[in-house]
Amino acid sequence: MSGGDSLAVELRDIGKAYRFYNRPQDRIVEVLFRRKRHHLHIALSGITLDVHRGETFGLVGENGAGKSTLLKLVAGTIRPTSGRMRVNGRVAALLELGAGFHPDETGRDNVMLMAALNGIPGRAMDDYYARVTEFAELPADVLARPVKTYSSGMFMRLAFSAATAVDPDILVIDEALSVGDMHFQKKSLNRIMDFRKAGKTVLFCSHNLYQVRSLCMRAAWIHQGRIMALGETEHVATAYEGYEREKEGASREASRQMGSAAPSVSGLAPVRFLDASIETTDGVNPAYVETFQPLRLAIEVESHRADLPFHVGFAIVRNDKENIFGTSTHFRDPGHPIRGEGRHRVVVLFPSFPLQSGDYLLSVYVLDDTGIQVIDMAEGIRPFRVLHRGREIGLVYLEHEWEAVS
Amino acid sequence: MTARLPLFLLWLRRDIKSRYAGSIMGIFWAVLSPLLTISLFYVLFAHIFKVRVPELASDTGFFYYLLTGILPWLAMSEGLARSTGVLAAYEQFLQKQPFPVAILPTTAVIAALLPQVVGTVVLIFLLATNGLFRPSALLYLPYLLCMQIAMTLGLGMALSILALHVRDLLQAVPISLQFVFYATPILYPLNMVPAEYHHLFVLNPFACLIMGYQHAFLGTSTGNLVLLAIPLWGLALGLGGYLLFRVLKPTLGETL
Repeated sequence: MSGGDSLAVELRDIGKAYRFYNRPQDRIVEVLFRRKRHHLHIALSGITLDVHRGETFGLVGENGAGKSTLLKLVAGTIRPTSGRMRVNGRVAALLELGAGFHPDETGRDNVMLMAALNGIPGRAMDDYYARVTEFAELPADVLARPVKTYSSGMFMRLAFSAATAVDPDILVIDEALSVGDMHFQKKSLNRIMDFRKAGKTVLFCSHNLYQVRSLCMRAAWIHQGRIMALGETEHVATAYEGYEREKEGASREASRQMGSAAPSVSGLAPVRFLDASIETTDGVNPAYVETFQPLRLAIEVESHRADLPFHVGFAIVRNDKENIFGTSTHFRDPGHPIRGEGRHRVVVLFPSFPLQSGDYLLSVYVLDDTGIQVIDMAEGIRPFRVLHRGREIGLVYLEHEWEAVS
Repeated sequence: MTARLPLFLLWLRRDIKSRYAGSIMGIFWAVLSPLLTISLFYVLFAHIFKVRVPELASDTGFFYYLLTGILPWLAMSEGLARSTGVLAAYEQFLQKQPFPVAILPTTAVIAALLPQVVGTVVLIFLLATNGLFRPSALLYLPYLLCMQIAMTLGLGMALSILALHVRDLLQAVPISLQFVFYATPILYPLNMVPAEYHHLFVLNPFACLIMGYQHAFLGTSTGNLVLLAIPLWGLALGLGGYLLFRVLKPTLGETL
């Protein structure tokens, strides 16, 4: 096949169907009497997709859409029912954290087994072990204990480290990015970023569209076993979002109207969102905002960690959850993160607020210095109304000039 | 294959360790439980049923006979019983972790050899101290052990993959093994069986192998047909089981 070398994963018209039987003996009846007794469950059909070498590729879709089946196919734990596939390079799969771990064995023995599982030869094992334990940040006495005595956070840290310390060409990850505490989540994300920088291929699925958008170059939306959208991440994520919004429908809208009731992520975040206010010439948090008024948006946060640089982002959201506009301090140029303990205030000025009449809400995000990890957030807060005195229709006033009216 | 050896050894260690983890006697159960079984049979068959083996006239003759036969039997039956269920037990795991599947039944079969190895050393020691040890047994031993592993491994691999599709095997294999146990001359010498049935024992691979062990260690007389059957059974079960496993392996993970 031409250009095969630049492809890490090559799937051609892949289908995966499971046979299931109402009664176990039906399986025998089918074999002996050649009588069809099975029902087919089609997990995937007509999947054609290429993942290029060095690409970070995301899979989005609902639960049960077939994302995990697709990852298992690439990982080689199941095989397709139809179609052709090629996986070029060594695959490390992270389909379930700690799948190869035994609770009665020590952390050390479990890691050693993972080394053997990934074909790491005897000499390189010690080196591998050192890398795993360094990344997992577990002390030697903990590693000498059976894994069943670990907290779930410790367990996941070790499992994630063991799975990613191998040096694969292709890394397959299923929903494993939100592991452990904040600090470790960030480290795990950084590890994925390192893989990306090292030119490795990463294939992962996630429910977190923000993560998919930030990490992936291309993506595919899988729906009921088929590819609904494939290509640039932004297109795919938007298409999927549109579908989700449609599905959620108007019922959600009503509850969203409650606005400020939506709480922030947790009171324990190291950088906390405190307050957001809107200021116009009519004062702070006015009854309504007029279109074309200068509008100042002030966000207050409090940092409890001097060593955690962060960014602040916000979005203006219509009351039906539609994002109107959002930006973040890391989109500035240069986008230096905010540092230091204590209170911080981020103020944005809209010299001439262009939204037309409607009800809007704010969502505020505190992000880490990469802009990927969400440290704290408050969605759907501070409802405000905009009134447009003019007669133009629509959501937003677009600058325009009538050049000829004859 | 070479890359799989370290994995196999670690998996074997995990299998043995984890089975006895948390118990006070730990790994000693591997020796203790066959010891109790052997004691029970010894008291029952040597002192109550008064079974005597013609070639071994001494009082303890039956004990040696029992030990020679039951050590490989326990290893084989345990290996088979455990390998039958092993793929069914690890089915979920195998979907989540790329893994050389054959290691699972192999580990079950090989781990079960542990008590046999310890017991055989004890048997040789006992025979030697009583002047009954036959040095030629050391020549037979590796050969018989190879045949034993070939039979058990082949059968174990086949059963492990078949049990995924026919779950009834999980129940049927242990009870069938009990029948085979009594159809194998372990608790009784063959001469207690009516002569017209002797040729039927050739059809029992376990009986052939165990008569081979008894012949090698104790010098009991065994028909040439039986001795010839050992390598044939080893080849048939070993190769047949392996091929069946190879053919059915793609069906793994299809039984959702």
